[in-house]
Amino acid sequence: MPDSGLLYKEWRQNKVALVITILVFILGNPLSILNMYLIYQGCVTGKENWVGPCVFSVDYLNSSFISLFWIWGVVLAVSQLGIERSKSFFDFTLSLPYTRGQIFHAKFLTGGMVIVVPQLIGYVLSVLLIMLLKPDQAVYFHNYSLGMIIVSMLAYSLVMAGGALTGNSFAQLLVSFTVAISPFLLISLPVINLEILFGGSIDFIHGPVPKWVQYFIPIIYVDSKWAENSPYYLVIPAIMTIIFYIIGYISFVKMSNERNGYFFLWKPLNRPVQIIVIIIGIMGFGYFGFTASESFAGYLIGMGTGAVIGFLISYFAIYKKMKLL
Amino acid sequence: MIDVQHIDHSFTIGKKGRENEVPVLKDVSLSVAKGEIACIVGRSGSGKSTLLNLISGYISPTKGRIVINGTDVTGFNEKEWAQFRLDHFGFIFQSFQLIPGLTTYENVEMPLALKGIKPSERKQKVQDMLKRVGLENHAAHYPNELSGGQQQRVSIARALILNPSIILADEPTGSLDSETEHEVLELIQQLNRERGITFVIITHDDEVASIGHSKFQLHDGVLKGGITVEV
Repeated sequence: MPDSGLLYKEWRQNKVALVITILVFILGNPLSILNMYLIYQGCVTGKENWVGPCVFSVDYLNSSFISLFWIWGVVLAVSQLGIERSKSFFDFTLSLPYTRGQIFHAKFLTGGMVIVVPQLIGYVLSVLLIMLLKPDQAVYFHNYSLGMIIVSMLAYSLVMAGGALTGNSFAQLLVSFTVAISPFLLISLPVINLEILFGGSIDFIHGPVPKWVQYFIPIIYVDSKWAENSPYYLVIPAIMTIIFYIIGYISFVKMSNERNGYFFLWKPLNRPVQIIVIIIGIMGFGYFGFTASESFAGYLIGMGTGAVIGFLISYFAIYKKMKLL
Repeated sequence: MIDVQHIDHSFTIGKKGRENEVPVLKDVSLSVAKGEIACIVGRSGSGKSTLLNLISGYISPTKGRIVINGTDVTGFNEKEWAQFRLDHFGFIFQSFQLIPGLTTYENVEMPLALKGIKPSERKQKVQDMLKRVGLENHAAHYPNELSGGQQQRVSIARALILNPSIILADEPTGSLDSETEHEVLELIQQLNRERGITFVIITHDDEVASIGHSKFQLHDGVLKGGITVEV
């Protein structure tokens, strides 16, 4: 259990972001249901303006406010690590009489509690509201409400890990996003390029891929379709949350955090990541050039453009030190 | 009080199996007496911040020994350092490092709250400290409502609130204009005289170095000599 003083510091330091997140998490779910109820009431009172019968349906697959809850996990992680570093008061935090491990645990516990507890409260309030308003149907309500707690924890721990590896908020967000789409970048994109180069179709990518495999791509949870599947699939993001937590913890404890502003805190990562960015640029733009022109010349031009863009992006993002705010 | 004995520090770069050692500090020895203001002077890249980080316990020396207040801290683990910092050190930073969402009062109160001191006791201590640094009328102001000099005074008050025996200051006037720099240096000298606090100040500025009872010149990781002056 982290020191209560550190929890107090986290709370005071990130009060605005934490309070807004708590309010959104508590009120978001019940307000979604109230909104659906008001739409239903609008139908009942002005039936002549509506097509079809009035059905009070609590449908979480269509336009539920809580589908954006994961964003708050990102906001919290950036506020707790990236902004603290960018605003230059990280040295003060490290000068406090606590180990780095204690500091990271305090941050993670604060963020985790703010994500889990208010969402549970919001869920209980929503259940009470459903019992009171008695909708005709509630589609994926439990699955989505409880699953979103895991999804927002996944977003939080992923961006926390990104923040523990990098020296500023921009780098934190960029690395986190790249990791979120990394299975696509590292598997699908090379396979697509191989198809262009050698022709034909590679079964591995077009063949029947087991459904659970897609749940290893963090970005997949941005789309609410995961709620349609068995809740057991949510074990995958839960395990990924733990893995990202461990990565974040080790990075935070082991790497030099002081006086930073560099892209990666661990400089040996710079060169391999730059090479990967250039390769991804070549493959991505090559694919784009091929599909746009439907010619091999277009593919080559795209690859050349991608190499230049990949180099420039990686050079300016990784090697040019950000000025601290 | 602070005894640095034949310290070497180097960073390792390069691939595994073909690592290169880049020396940052070479055989540095210095001694700072209790109640002294010691200034470590040097250009950017001379190793002065590395030396301060070694004394603060953020990094460990490759070779040599550091003794502070009679305790050999060289082999301390992170937990032991955390406790040692609580008991002995206060920190002042170039960029003040005040928490933006907290008022002057709350920033100074923070270390006391972290130490678990009761709110009633905290109030008196913070008020006394703010009075001492001349900010009693700015207790409710946020950092962005204060001038650079005032922010650094808040930072000094925060560093002093737990009565540390040693203050480690990294370019404490680096972000200030010359007039404000003078005010802050005067405050440091007054606190040193009144409370007998030892100050270790890292600076590249000769005016800052002039307040030191002793001055250590670092050049490319080598100590070019310590001078003790009467101030």
